[in-house]
Formats: sequence, structure tokens, C-alpha cells
Amino acid sequence: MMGTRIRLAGAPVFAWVRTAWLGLLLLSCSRAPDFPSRAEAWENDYPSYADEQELLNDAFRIDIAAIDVTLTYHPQDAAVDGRAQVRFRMRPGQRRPRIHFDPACRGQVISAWRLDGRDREVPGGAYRVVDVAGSSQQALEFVEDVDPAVEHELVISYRLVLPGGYPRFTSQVHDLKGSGNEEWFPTLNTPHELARHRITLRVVGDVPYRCLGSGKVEWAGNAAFQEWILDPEREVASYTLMFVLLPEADTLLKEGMIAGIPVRMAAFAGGAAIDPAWAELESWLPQLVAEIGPFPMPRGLSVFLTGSSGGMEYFGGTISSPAALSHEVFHMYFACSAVARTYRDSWWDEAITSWYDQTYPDYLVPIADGYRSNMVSGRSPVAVGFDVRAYYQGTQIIETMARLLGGREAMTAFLSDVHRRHAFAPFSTMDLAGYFRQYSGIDLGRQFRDWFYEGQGDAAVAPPAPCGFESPPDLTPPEEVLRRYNLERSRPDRSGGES
Amino acid sequence: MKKRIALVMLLFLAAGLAPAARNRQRGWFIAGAAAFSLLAPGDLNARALAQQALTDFTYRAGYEAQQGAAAGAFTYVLQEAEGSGLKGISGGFPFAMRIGRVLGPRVAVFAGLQYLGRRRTSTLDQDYLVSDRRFDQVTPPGDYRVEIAYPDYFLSARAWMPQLGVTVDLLQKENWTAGVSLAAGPMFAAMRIIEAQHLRRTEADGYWTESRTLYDMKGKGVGAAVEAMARLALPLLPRLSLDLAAGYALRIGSRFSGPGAYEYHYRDANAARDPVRYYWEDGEWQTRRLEARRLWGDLAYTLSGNDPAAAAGNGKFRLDLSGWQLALGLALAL
Repeated sequence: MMGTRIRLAGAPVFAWVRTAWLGLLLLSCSRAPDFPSRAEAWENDYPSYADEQELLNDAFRIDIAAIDVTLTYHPQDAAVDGRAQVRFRMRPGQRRPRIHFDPACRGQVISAWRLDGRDREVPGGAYRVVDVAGSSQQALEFVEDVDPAVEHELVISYRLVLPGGYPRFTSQVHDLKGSGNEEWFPTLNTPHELARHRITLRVVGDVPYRCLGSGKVEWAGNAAFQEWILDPEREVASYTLMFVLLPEADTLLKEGMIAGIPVRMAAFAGGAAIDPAWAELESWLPQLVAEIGPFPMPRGLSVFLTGSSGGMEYFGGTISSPAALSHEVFHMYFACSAVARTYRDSWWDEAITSWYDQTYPDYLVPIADGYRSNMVSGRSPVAVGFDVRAYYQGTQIIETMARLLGGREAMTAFLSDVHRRHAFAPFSTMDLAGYFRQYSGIDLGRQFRDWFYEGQGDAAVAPPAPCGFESPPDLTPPEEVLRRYNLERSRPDRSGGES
Repeated sequence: MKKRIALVMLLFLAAGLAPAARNRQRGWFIAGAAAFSLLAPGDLNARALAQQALTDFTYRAGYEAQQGAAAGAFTYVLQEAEGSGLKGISGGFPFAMRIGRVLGPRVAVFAGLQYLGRRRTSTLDQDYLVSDRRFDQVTPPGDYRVEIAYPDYFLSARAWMPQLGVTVDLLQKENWTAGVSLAAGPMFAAMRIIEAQHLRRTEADGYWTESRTLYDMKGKGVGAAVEAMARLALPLLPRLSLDLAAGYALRIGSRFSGPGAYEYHYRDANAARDPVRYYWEDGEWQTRRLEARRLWGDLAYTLSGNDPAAAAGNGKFRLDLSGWQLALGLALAL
């Protein structure tokens, strides 16, 4: 039931009956359920897990197998023509599909809609925009039911208008707010929805462009346009997909191998310095490989360095300032390969990353005795975004776990184990507590409930100050690049401040 | 309150029917006076004035600078409620009661108690409607709305001042007497700041964030008060005279401390974070000199308070209730 409050303890008998029923239903489905092994394990201790799965199914409706998108960028018109093909099945108990595609929620951008080979009139004959209880994110709900037993194919065509000015086209995910690539193509914006993606990026015009992105990026060449095919080569969450298209003449690129990992690093000419950032990776990447495990993305790492502000991690890539680079690169392990089950669970990838790279040294102390919060339960499992306390109190909780294990080295070994066992299998907050118990024999179930679900804050702490890594990267080119386009920086021109 | 004042006046008038004025012979007298005093307790007012300046600097000046730099791609409209603006305490009404003894034809001494209490409530209410269509913005283009409010910003100061003093008549005429008075004594003061801030931002796509912050800080401390006044006494009745006085009162207290409370509530379109609350019992009042650095300039400001963050401050906090004042009173010879 959407909007149902998740109970963590003391569930009444009917909840157990419902849980058992749902478990049987899941097992009886011809297609494997989303998280069978964990659901079974969870039910022993946390019956609400099944409730959460029901809620997720109710809200998200579909399970995407593959997204194949062609995005044709017209720099002269500051526009993108898109064609997306989405193959999906219905989740258990669902018949009416929903999908996220924010531009279509805001206005009429879709010109053609074909479902299972049949054209529908847009918008009324194809979809309606619906609010989802518990989330600020709207969805497109199909106007017809579909057969839950078979795979379906949605093909849409659309045109998106970009801000004018400097001719760039990039992904701009903001995970703290919870906005992902549904700005560019139809998908489900939730971390646990892993799907195969194949993005064809085209640029119209004679100006040579440079393309960076997640996974394998191949120059496809084309007589009519420049074309690249971006393929992560495995199922990933849509919001972890990165692409960057920029005029080649405006950028510098360095490519090479670091610790056996292919690395591509680009930046605006006259912008962030590549060499110091490269040197940082030369020590950082070997450390990560040694302590956490093999680099999770076989095609290596693509970095677009920005001059200031924070950064954002993607599968095998990051758009980041030099200051945030090591933080974002660690996210390749936790956030982009070990993935949270829901947005609200993604506190742990920020907490683990901030703990490991010691982003906030002041917070490398154990969490206060008796700390309680609603860091996770404060938002619905179907909501977008995560709690900013992940960076601060989250780091303290990871430090607490580290001390219980015996210190930093022991905790790093545990993280390595979690990554090795659970990468690309989205897991929740309480799953993490379970993994900790399996690994160490220490049961933190009660503490996790207090730390993340049972808050009604009496915490004797001040709210944390905002920090740079929470701000999205600033992709504004330096002035010498802007001048080539007769543009001026449209902000007060002083460095070192905030906009 | 009005009834009490009327009763006191009647008492004076009734007693005044008896013969003999106090400045003509030895004897006891009682006096009461009310005054208007110009006050400017800078450290106490600093916090309210800083929040006003910070709000204007962060939003009004920030948007103005961005509007100026963006050549029409960034515009804003400010809607501000009538009377909006945080204000400090700027005046007060001391009351004093004295009992004294005439020592000679020109000199009298007295002991008394003066009370000065002042409250000030003001409100800041600004609503910015912003249109951001810049090409190089960090966030997607669109309009957004920022609402900032400090509803009922409350400042108060109270001081009790036991006094010992002397009056000297310099000129004695048939119908009036002119002289000076000097009084001094300790000051026992208390003060309080209640500061609530409400901040809400709504994006073009409906996503919103909202925070509510509340500080309630109290303080008690001691100091000294010295008052030097020129006075003019006009006999109304044989035992009753009207006193007019003007002069300067120095009232300064320091080493203030007291309890406080802090609450912070954050919500956004997707979540309601549980509130943060904390309390402290004996926070020392301090001032902190801070600087806000933004793309469009710097702002230096002073925050006063007794919260844990204030402990990092190194500025001495003083409650300065000094000021020029004008007093009107009655003296009754017993």
C-alpha cells in the first residue's frame, strides 16, 4: 500500500501473515523476484522488508531490462532529439506501468509513443502525469494495463531544449536532491533498478566534440554526425550513468594507465590542472585496489575535472573538482558498484566514502551514546534523495563500527568483503547491519534501528554546516573559453565564494 | 497598572496637604520618578542587526549582483511585508523610588531603587521571486522562490539598580530650586533573545526545502550604574514638589550567563528530518566577529549569544544600558 508507514519492530500478526503470503507469491512467480535471498533472510528478523518491497513495487511498477537511447545533440539549436526504447516487465502484482521522464512531466516534449508496436496518441492516449505518495518525483503512468506475464517495449521520440550559451551536453545527476538521468531519457529513478543501458550520443555540426562517459565509449563515426556509443556492459542504475559532450578544442585530455586501470582525464583548457589530479590518482587508485579490491569497472575511469565546487560520482566516471576527486573516485566502490536499495539507504555510500577518505576529520569519532535519528525512516522508500547527516553522523557511525571491529584496518577489510560479496546487488541499511553481523558476529540490529529509524531527535549536536561536496559540480568553462563564444560569465566574477 | 499609578499620585497629593517642604528644613522625604532614556545596548542589539544585515547581504545583495551580471538572464522581485525589518532596543523608561534625608539647607542624601525594563519585538519578512535563465548555472534553469522570515524577533533587557545618592541645591528661589544629583550603585540585569528563523525555497519543479530554527537565550549578570542629573524642583504644595531632571546614566553589566535552548527542524519535499534540540544551563554570553564571503563581496558582522557556538567567541559581551535621559518625578516631605 503506498504511503504505508514502515514498521521495524512489533509488527502485528497480520503483517507476518502478509509477509508469508508475499513470500509465497514471490516464489511462485515465473520470473525471479528482485531480492529473493535477502528477502528470505530479512523476514527472520525484520518483517517490514517485505512491506517495503511491496511499496516499491506499487510505486515503481516495472522492472526494466534494457534502455536503448539515441540522443542527437544540436549545438546550434541548443536542443536534443531523443529516441528511447525501453524493454520492461511488470513487477509482481502490477499491471499498469509507470516510468520517470521529468521533461514530459513538465510539458509536452514527447512526439511519438509506441507501446508493443502500437502507436498511441500523446499525451492523452499514452500516459498521464501522476504524483507518487511519499516522493516529490512525478511519473508518467500509462493509460492502459499491460500483460504482467510478458516483456513489453516502449519506444518514444522527443525533443529537449537545453539552456542556450555554451554548447555542452552532459549528465547532471544530483543524488542529494535525488534527480538523475530521467532528465534525458525515460527510466526509473531508483538505485535498485539496475538495467542494461546503451546510449548513442550524436553531435550535429562540424565542430569536433569530445565524449567521456561510463563504461565502454566507442567512436561509431558517421557521415552525418559525430557518434559515440556508450555501453556500461552490465546492468547499472540509471542515475549512475555519465556522459560528457564538449567541444574538443575547449578541452585537454590525458589518457593512460594507473595501477592497470585505464584512466581518461579531461578538463577545460585554462581550467583545472590535470597533472596534479593525475598524480593524486597515481597514489589513490593503487591504495583502493590494494585495500578494497579490483577496480569495479573493467573499462576504467573517466574524469572530467571542473574548476570549483563539488563533484558527482558515476559508474566508471566522475565530474568533479580536484578537491572532491578522491572522494568521488572511492564512490566507484560504494555507490556505483555496491549500490543502495533505495535512495534513503544511500546514506551508507556517502558515510563509508567520507569515513574512508576522511573527508571530515572532525567526524572521525564514534557516534554519541544514545544517538537516535530518522536518517533513513525520515523519508519514504520511494522518495528521492538522502539525508545530509550521512556525511557527518553517518561517518561517526562507520567509525563506531570500525572501533567495534578493532580499528581502521579491520573496517577496511570488512568493506572489502562487503564489496566483493554484494557489488551490483542493491542492499539496504538493515542489510548492511546483517552483513556486519555475518562478518563479525556483532549484532548491531538494535543500534541500527536507533541510529536510522527511531529518531525523534534529542541529539545534543548542532546541525552540520553545509560542505562543498554536497554541491553539484560547476561545469562553467573558464573565461578564456567563454570568450571564444562571445560569452561572459554571468555571475559576479570573484573566485573563492559561493554562488 | 494605571490604577496603581493613580493611587500613588493620590497618595502624594494627600500627603502634600501637610505643611513644610523638604528643602526648607531637616527631615525625611520620599520621591518617585519616571524617565525616558535613550538606550543602545550594542552587544545585545548586534545579533538582530546582524541577522538583518546577513539576510540583506545574502539575498538582496546577492540577487542584485547576479542580476547586474547576467544581462536580463537573471531577474528577481522582492516582496517585503510592510514594516519588515529587525530592530534593536533604542529607548527605555526607567522608574525610581527613593527615600532620603535632608542634611542641610542645600544637601540631601537618599537611597533608592531604580528599575529599567525594555522589550522590543520586530519582524523580518522577505519573499524573493527569482527567474534564472543563465546558460552557465549549476542547477537546471527555472524560476524559484525564496521566503525568509524572522517572525517576532524578541529582545529584552531588565535591570534593577539599588542606589545611594546625594542632591545638592545650587540655586534656591522662592518658586523653584535648581541643583544636581549623583547616584551610584550596583546593577542586577537580565536579558533574553528569542530568535526564530523560517527559510523556504521552492524550485520550479515544485521541489522545496524548508528549515525552522529557534534560539532562546537568557542571561543574568551584574554591573554598575552611575547617574548624574541636573534637576529643577518646583514646589506644588507645601510638602510636595515636582522634580524635573536631565542627565546621563551609565549602566554597564558584564559576565552574563544563563540558560538557552536551540531547535532546528528541516524538511524537504521528500523527507522530514527529526528535529534537533539542545539545551544549556549556564552559557556565557560572548560576541563573535564573523565574516561572510560571497562572490559579490564580504560582510563583517557580530553575533552575540550564549549558545555553545558562542563559546568559541572571544569578544566580551557587555550589556550597556547607558544613555541620556529625561526624568519627571514627585518628592514628598514626610
